[in-house]
Amino acid sequence: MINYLYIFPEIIITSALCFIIVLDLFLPNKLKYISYYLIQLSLIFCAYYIYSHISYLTNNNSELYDTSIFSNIFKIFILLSLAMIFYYTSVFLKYFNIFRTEYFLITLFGLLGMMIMISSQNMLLLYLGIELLSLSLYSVIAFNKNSLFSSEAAVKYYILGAISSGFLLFGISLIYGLTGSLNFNEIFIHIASFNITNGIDNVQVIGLLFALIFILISLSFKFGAAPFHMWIPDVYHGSIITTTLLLSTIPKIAVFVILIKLLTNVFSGLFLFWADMVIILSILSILIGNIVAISQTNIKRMLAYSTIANIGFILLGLSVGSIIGYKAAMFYTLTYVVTTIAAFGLLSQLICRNKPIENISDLSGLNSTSPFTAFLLMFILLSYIGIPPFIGFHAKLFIIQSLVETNNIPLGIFAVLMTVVGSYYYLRVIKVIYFDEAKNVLASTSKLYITGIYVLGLILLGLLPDVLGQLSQYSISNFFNT
Amino acid sequence: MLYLDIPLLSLLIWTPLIGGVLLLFIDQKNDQLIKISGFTISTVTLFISIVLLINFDTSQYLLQFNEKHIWIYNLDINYHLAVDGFSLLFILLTTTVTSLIILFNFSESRQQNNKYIALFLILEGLLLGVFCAFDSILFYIFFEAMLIPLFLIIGIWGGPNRVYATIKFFIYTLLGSVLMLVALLYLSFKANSFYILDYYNLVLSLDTQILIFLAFLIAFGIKVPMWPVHTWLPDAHVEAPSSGSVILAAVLLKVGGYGMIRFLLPITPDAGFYLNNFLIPLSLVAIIYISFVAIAQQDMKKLIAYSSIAHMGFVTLGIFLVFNTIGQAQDIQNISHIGLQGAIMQMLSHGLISAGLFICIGIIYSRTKSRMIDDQSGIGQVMPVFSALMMFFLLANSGLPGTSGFVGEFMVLIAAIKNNIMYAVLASTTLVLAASYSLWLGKRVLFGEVNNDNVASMKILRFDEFWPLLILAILVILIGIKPDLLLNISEESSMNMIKIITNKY
Repeated sequence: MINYLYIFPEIIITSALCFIIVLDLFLPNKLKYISYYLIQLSLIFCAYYIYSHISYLTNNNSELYDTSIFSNIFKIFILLSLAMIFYYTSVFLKYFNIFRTEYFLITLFGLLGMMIMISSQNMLLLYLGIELLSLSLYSVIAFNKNSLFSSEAAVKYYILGAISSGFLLFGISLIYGLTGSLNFNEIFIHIASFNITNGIDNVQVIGLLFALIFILISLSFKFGAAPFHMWIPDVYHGSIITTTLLLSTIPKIAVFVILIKLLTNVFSGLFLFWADMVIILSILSILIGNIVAISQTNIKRMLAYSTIANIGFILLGLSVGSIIGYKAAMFYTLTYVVTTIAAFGLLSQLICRNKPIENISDLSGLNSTSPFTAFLLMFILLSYIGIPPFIGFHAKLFIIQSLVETNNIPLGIFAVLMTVVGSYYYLRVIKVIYFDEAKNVLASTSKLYITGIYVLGLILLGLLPDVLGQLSQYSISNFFNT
Repeated sequence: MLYLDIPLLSLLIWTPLIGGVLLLFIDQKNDQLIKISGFTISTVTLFISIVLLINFDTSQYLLQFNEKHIWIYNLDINYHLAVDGFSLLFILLTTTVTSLIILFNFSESRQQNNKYIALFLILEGLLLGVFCAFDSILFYIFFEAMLIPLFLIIGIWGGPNRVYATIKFFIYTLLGSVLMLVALLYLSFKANSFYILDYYNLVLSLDTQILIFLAFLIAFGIKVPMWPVHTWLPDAHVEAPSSGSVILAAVLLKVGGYGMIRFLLPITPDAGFYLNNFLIPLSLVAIIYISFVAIAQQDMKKLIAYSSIAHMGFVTLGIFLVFNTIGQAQDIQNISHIGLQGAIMQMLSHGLISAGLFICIGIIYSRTKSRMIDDQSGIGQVMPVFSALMMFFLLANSGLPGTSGFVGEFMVLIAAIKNNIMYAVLASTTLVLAASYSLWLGKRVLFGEVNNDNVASMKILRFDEFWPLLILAILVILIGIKPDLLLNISEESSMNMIKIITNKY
């Protein structure tokens, strides 16, 4: 007997989707906002449902679908972030008169994909989730059909995404061939039964290593870690800014959860091998992200490279291989997501010569035209650098602390030095905002009250880092106890 | 103690911080209100620091006015504030100088004045935080957050080349401090605590100590600044607005010296002993070479900036000499105590004197719109009172007995003589060199004939320019005549510091 109540959150989203698609057809253009509010409502309701039933959901002991506290915390986080992203998206689309309910609906499919990814306990279910997410992202990127860049970005992402899915499938089939199972727990038990330390001469271990490498390549493609980062700058650049906001935030959370589940649980027997791979990925990401960002003039491309560098930091936390590192990585991921929502959200509300912000120089003299906006943007950028007392500092602090505690001091020094390199391109934006003469008339698409409150919340989070800290502590320790 | 229940230190730090943030919300056009409230906030802070001074027990070295609350539960990081003798002196310096700066700005009207004064107040709060924090991460947070207000002060209100100067300043200091962060985390990992005094009891191998020492040395050496990492300072000074230069020279540089006393001395004495043949020459180079560089300057502000580096060379010399006396007999250790006290004295006196000099240069610049020495001559004939005060500060800068400038240098020289006569001989060249650049500057700028219209049309001192200078001058003389007033405060802490270092060895 299958108890469908455990997947009630997913059912809420699916039924909201089906209902709103049909409803939207019958709404006249003036009333389309009703479907937008319904979508927001369903997101909030779904998050509330998970929150209020979290102890019930954890009773689920399905082999296929995991609804533990760990997954549910991430689901709530994704739902709330998506609500915030949808707010910015609707403001942006309305201002430029390209508001379509389909945009939100397609994204909801992606949301469903992410929820499936987070909960999957089975390789095929994982693949299903990733594909659902990717397909909806392809169409969202191509949403702005009048723009050449947009179509180029979509095609590029589609082709590369297809290749990476191929890698993933190949890895999964190797695993199935070697272990005879697709279930996470069974694969884990099977791998644990090998004596890995005995060397690589065992053919099965070599096969498993290949599978691990293929899966890791595919996931680092989705995550955006160097050297599989090539699509990020182009896609970020090509899509409209709110799509960039979407792309750069919540899919990363979902992939992070998968990485935690696969690396620290399923493949924990192969730690010796994947730790080195993750370190290489993270060093490359931090190097490429921070150095290439210096030469960017387009702010979306700059933030794309900054994303790559941030991903590197998250991987650095994962590579530690102890709970303290995973906690730090989770804290970093959450921090990165809330900061990025603030950054892109704020930028999406600014317009220069009746166009969205494109280049860094568009922001020049923001301080003289709108001091409050300049202040908010400065806080966000300082948080990205990791200057205390902003939240980004604590994120970096936890990562470096976990490295120091596991005697990885050279890596820690590398990380802090790259922070200094990275500070340069953020400072350049602050310089443009504060020290340059105003060349353009900047305006905002709407009042910045919500953004203001959101950024002030970020500053409070920086003063009280325990809020996110305890959350990561709680969920990670829960994950490893069950 | 009367005020034991009130969290005095939190009050001290948060008054300027919150006051500064609130100032941002006052409308820019309401200039008078901004200035009056800014001045009130800084005076209240000064008043709180005086209350601290009155209630401070100088007869013991233990931390006083402790405040401890859990802040980050995960890592056991606390919001831990306290003061000892060292901290208290720097707190007093900070509050005094900031109030005088805001007084000095009183009748000046500039763009975005609310932000300008707010940033100074925020900077004051963060500086006070650095001196009060006894949790290493809290210390680091204040230490690094300090960059932001000064970055903006130089960047927004600075001179033509301000962007270069401010980004150089920011990246230089950030580079220094991030390495310190790794060292702090390593120490906390070893000590299993973030409490700074717990680090003092750690027993570390020489190799580890050297690495930690270098991390701290880079962080604080850049702040002080020591030769050869001093190049950001002249740039920052030249581009900064006058009040920015004042706070930079008077207080910000002292954070480096304070950090050395708080971290370098007690945590890594062996490494200091081992590396001292390399460190003391660095200080001597700063004293001698930078003094020569100062003589050659054409720009008044650059000249005073280089003179600051040379004077801070004395501070680092006094601190590093302590390492040399490790394992020596008791009387030699007493000498290093004199050297340490001299270093602190030198920092305080340089804080007051350089503040006075930068205010003087600001006054000249506001009238002639030039900082070049060649553009001024015979200011003494136009502004006699001002010239007398500036000459007084220049004499104090060259270490005239009776002023505070003499006391610190003299004490450090005593320690140097006992250590190695060569150090003393080399260091004492400063008495000639400092006199030559200071007095020559005075001769060229203040004396002689008035040779251009800019100088001839200079207005006499306003009251808000006169009073800060006069108060600073009185303080300089007071400390020069009775240095015990300040030395007593840090006496016990300094004795205890020497004891910790020698016991550890």
